[in-house]
Amino acid sequence: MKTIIATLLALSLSGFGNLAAAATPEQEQALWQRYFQARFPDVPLEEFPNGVYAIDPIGRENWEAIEEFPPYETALSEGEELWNTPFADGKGYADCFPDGPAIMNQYPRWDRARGTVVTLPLAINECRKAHGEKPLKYKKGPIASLLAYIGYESRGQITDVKIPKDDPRALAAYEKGKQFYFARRGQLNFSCAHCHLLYSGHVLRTETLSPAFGHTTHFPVYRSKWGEMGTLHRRYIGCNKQVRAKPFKPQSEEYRNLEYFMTYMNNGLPLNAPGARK
Amino acid sequence: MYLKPMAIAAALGIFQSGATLAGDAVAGKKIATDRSRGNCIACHYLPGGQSPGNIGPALVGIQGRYASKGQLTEQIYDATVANPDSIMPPFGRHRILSGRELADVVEYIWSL
Amino acid sequence: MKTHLSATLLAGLLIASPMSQGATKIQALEAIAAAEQARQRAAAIDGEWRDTGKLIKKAKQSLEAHLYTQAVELANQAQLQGKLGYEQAMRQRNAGFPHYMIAFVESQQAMEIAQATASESTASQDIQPFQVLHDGKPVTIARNHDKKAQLPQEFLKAGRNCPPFCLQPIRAAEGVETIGELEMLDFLRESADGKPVLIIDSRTPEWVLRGTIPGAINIPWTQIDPQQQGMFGDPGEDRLRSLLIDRFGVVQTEEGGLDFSQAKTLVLFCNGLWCGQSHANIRTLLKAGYPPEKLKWYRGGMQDWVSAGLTTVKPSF
Repeated sequence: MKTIIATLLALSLSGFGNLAAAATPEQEQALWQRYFQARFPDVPLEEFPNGVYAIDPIGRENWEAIEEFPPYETALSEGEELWNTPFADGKGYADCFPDGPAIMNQYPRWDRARGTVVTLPLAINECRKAHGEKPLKYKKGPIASLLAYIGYESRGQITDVKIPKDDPRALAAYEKGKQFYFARRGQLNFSCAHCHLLYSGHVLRTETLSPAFGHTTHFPVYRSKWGEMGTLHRRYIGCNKQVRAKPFKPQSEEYRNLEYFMTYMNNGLPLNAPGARK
Repeated sequence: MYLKPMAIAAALGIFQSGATLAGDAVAGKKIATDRSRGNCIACHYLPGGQSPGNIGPALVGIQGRYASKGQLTEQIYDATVANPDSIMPPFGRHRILSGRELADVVEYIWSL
Repeated sequence: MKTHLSATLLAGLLIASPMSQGATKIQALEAIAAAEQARQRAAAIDGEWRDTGKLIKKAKQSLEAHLYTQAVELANQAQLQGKLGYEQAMRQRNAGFPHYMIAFVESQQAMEIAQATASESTASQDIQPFQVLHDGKPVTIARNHDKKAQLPQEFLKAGRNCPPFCLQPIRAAEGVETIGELEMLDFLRESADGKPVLIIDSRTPEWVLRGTIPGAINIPWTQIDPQQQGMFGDPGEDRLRSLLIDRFGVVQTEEGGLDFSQAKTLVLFCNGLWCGQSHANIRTLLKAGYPPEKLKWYRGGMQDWVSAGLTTVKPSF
């Protein structure tokens, strides 16, 4: 608490109108987490990964009922099978990911050699390519099942994204992700922050807006609206379309940078993938 | 130079082939509750509306809050003029609604 | 500024109205090209809108169907979208954490701090008076708030010789905590509460006569220093041993050794930073085996105590 106060005092002394210029990622992370904890003071820290069900009691009841027979169970068994099925060359995912399958909290991460953010889906397809397999599509289907299995095995791991201080390109990726998050876009002129930060907890027609603090812990997600599993980038695409902005390709640099920023903001939260949502 | 509200209203009137300023409130209500058009109800309580959102202020007693239809028109045209941080989409500036739709919506909201 | 833009856009709206006369194929082609250019300009800075591409596609379809007016209209809409998307992305270039987020967090913090301080003691922030026993009689320790009060004579001097009035280090010995007034007050309260704590004025009696800290007992350093002959000529060593066993809670073991496990915490002081008497006592006690963590040194001593305006008491005999 004292660290956060000290951080915020330091922030206020730096006299910003434009926080983007003045603060470090650590300071911004503290501000982000402090903001949501102040907005939702009755929600314990470890509950934020449950998203809207941490703040909406009726929704939570329904969700808990659903979780008794989780709709992602099929995906879990499919994912496990995928993980254990060897490639044509006899190798398997375990050869690319020796720590696997519980590897979810190793991503996203800054890849120094390639100078880009590497996400788990990207790494999966690179593994496949290295072993002569066709890449999986990034929004749904087998990738979602595989991620569901990996996520399930990784439950309880703590979000821990690093921005290496000795590579300014990593900070640049973070900054780009941050700018994306807060920029208005589309014909409807919304930013991610408008719904999921400023008005989180409010109701948009029939839906309570979920707080961004915890968004990255529970993907892939079984979304009733989709009637199937989907990845984080699938949701990015949907959100962008909803505000009438042209979406980017899944696993595009824009979305990977965005994921990098968002996940870093959620450092410290336990992973609880896969999720089930309306 | 402040663009007089009446000027906008007048321009819209001209757009409607020289018709009077009055829009169609019944049509406006449809636009306000249509997800693909105005969708005002997503964020605002509307009397008699189903499952309104609670992001913006309730749309009641409008005439106590806006001095004229022209002012209301300006707000719906581009809410960021009055408040740069507003999250209300700029229905006019971004052409989310056509001039005619805007007039209809104004007529409807004005009656609340 | 924005109102000018509104006026311009409205004017644009009028010009593009269905009232305009039939467009030509050339005009349609030009409109579509302009729209595509505007779309690409927006896309280059990640500002393209969702429907711009669709509008251009529809415009092209209209062109193919020889519906040139419609093609122009659709293309113009697309061009406007491209322009607005570009402007939007330009304005949002430096988007970041908003001011209202910081303001919200700060206001929450201010509330928390206000609540926290409100729940603290509502009385004066200064020390609350409390009672101790001194020579068997109750004495109240409090802080003097009389702004005209002055220091006692003997503590006004600014020049002293060393020896004997040498400046003391901040630490008496390894493991022995140096404390200040607030900690001293806590120890005094504990002692008054019956906890195994002794407050020891280490000075020789002529100093103690001028005033001491209420609740303190006087054990002059000369009494327990093995080098000294002691007040009554007894060897300092025996005197020390008696003190340890009789008054400090030290237990003599069967082998004749000393068990300090039940020993009391001793808080020693003398005149202050220019006085070495309590420091000497501490050294003696440590040599005798006293656990350092049970020895506390109030280095500021009487000089600081009276400077703080805290109550002093003269012996009642």
